[in-house]
Amino acid sequence: MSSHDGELGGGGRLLDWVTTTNHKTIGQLYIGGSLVFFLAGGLMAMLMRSELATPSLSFLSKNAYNELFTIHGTTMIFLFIAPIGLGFANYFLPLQIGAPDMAFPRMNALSVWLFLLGGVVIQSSFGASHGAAAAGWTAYAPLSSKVGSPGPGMDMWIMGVLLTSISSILTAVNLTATVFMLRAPGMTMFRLPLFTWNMLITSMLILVAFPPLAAALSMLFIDRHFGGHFFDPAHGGSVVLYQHLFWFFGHPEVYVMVLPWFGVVTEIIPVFSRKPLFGYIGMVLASMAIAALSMSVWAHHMFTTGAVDNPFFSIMSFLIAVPTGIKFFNWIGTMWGGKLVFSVPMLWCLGFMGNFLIGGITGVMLAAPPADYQFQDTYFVVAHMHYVLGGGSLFAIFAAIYYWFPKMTGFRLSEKLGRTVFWFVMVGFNVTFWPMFVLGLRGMQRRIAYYPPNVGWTTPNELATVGAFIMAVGVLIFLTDLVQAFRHKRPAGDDPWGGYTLEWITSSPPPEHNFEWLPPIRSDRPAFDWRHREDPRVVHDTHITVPGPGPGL
Amino acid sequence: MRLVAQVAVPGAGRPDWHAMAPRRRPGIGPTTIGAASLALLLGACNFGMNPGGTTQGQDINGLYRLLFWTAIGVGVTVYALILWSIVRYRRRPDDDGSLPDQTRYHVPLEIAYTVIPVMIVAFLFMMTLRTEDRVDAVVPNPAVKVTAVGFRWQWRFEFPDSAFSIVGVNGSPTTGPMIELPVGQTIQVTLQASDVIHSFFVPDFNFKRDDIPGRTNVFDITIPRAGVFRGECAELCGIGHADMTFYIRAVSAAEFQRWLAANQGKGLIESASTG
Repeated sequence: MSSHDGELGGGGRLLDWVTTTNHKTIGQLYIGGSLVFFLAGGLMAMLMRSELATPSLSFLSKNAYNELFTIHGTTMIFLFIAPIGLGFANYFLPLQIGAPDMAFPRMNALSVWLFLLGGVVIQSSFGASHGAAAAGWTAYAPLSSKVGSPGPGMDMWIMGVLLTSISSILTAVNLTATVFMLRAPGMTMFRLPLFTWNMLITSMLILVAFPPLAAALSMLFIDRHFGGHFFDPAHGGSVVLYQHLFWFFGHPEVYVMVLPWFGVVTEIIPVFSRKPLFGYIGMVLASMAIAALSMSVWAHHMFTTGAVDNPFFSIMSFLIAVPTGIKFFNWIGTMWGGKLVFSVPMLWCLGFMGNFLIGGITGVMLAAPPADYQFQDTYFVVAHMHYVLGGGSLFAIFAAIYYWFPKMTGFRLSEKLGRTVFWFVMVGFNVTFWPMFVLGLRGMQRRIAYYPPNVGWTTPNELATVGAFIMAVGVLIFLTDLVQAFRHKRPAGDDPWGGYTLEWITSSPPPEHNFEWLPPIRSDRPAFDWRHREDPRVVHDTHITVPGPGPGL
Repeated sequence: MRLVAQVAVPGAGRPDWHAMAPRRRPGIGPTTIGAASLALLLGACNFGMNPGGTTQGQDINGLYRLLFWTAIGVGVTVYALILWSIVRYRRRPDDDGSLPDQTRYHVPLEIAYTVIPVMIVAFLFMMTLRTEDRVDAVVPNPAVKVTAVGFRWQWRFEFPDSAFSIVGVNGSPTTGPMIELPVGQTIQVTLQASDVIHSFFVPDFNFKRDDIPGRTNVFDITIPRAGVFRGECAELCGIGHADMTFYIRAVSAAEFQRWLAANQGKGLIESASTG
């Protein structure tokens, strides 16, 4: 079992990549793999947007379109947004708590390979007879049954998603154990960086949410192949049961895809405001509240089934807006009175706030069942969900990449290209998804490849397609930026941003076991304290009086 | 298009339902221009939601307006705060490099922006509940009963009291079935499916409900004004999902009775199209 120092990124042997148990290399595998899947999912989106530019069916077959949106959703959710968060956590969570590695390095290696394997299984299902799964990323029974979805594509989807779920569960165990067992002396729970806090809470969510998904998928597989009738009403099964199981996973999954990025934004905004985080305790409690509430709102995806008229799910969904609002106000409070520097990571964070706000307030509208009777399964939901996961998570993913790339590689990305990418994606994103709210209100249902030309859907669809191409240009410039950074190898230095957390104390990239030495940890921003150790005012100001459980357990 | 060859449509010949579906184009004239601008303005205020072709849909539209304007209010406030922070607190070119005030918390403020949102969502929830109770209310003895059965990939509308059903032909969206319903009367719609899940969705009604195998869903609608409403399937059901178009033509009670009488006892009527 070999492990490696961070210079592996500069060109290690292939065997080293395959056999590594080092958390940083595994993190890079996670991030690199997720980005490849992001490009694949993006390509699928471009094909769909091209098809929808005109009302009639132009160049895709009906089934190909259904395969595309199914695998697009599956890819973006299971193979990009969730795992790239786990990738950043793999790399930076041990660094942020002053640990030499994750708690279970070999299990960590297993996780990343299960994830990559699952991704390959899902993508390769395009080559299966009858094509890939085409029942939507939710795979509702009975459409996903043997009758509704014949052929091995659906089975490959089930197995691929199962593999990535198992991978996520293992990583969640690993991250949780790492936070509880491997914190450096002085790193009490209430001095944890918010990214680490949010990854801990995300891990808890994964541990609760993914087993029901595994159960639902296993039941589906048994129904398909071993004569089970879990979801077959003709034999006493229940169609609605699948939806309960799926969304009991599905809604916490939304926060698995969002909380890590709340954490990233909460790391970046203070650094570029030259202030500490405003309302640290409130931020932690808000993350916990979001996680808790997210376990109790799953049936708001099922209002139109007529099977859940319990207002409990509505009020809980409304209430999630409160802790999310606290986060927004804390971010604003952090910027308030600061000295804001608009470097590329900060730009992405501001874009995140602007877009996610729209995702959030439309989420409140969707919490009302009668309004949902109109919105459900229309482009309104598509727009809302993309504002949360695209405008929200994706923007924060770019923020994380631009913020941490210098630390991971030791090289600088171009500030100029980064700004260009930001504006292309920002403009393209809004031109793509804003018209979809209008489409939804005009009654355009999701998951259709063609539509009537005379019901007012054509112009918004044309706009959305134009926006998608603008975004695609942004992504291409981003790839150029990555390539030029590796080619020019301009050194970034250990601490290009004036960071607050421990990863900025060590070298870029960090040595094999992360730290040669650690500064004293007396607050949630030990690197900042260390830089200002001569300034008595700062040391006094940053003293946190909240007692933590002490280092280690 | 030619529609529903075998269905008896009293009155006019065969209007172009597609062209009559949702957005009608007003003629040119000062009144219509004025009306159009007003509609545009209101439409903009509505942010595009239909006013509601049923009383239930109108109710939903009312709730939607409340949610929409609250969202606008919250959104504008937060955007203003963000923009103010960006403009006011950006680092100036002549910055001396000193640290700004290292404020960490302000408990009363934090309590305020926790409590105020709780009050806002509690109010919205209350209004939501009241609307939901009205929209989901089902009367014991409706004037008309119709059962909509979704199948891959069309609809069958059954009028059990008059012993006939109208079934769409699997194929293109232009062959969807057309049914008539009376204005001003309570209509009870029962939803069923046997193959996969479908969803009965009429955008003009601001309403949809799923047709779920093994489950029967029932809801009431009252259509206040005559018109033609386009319906569709909202739940993915396979490759013909987009083809499950249907039309509801709301007519006077008397005309509806004539239509019922004309089809009485005819059993299964195919809404075939010759092209």
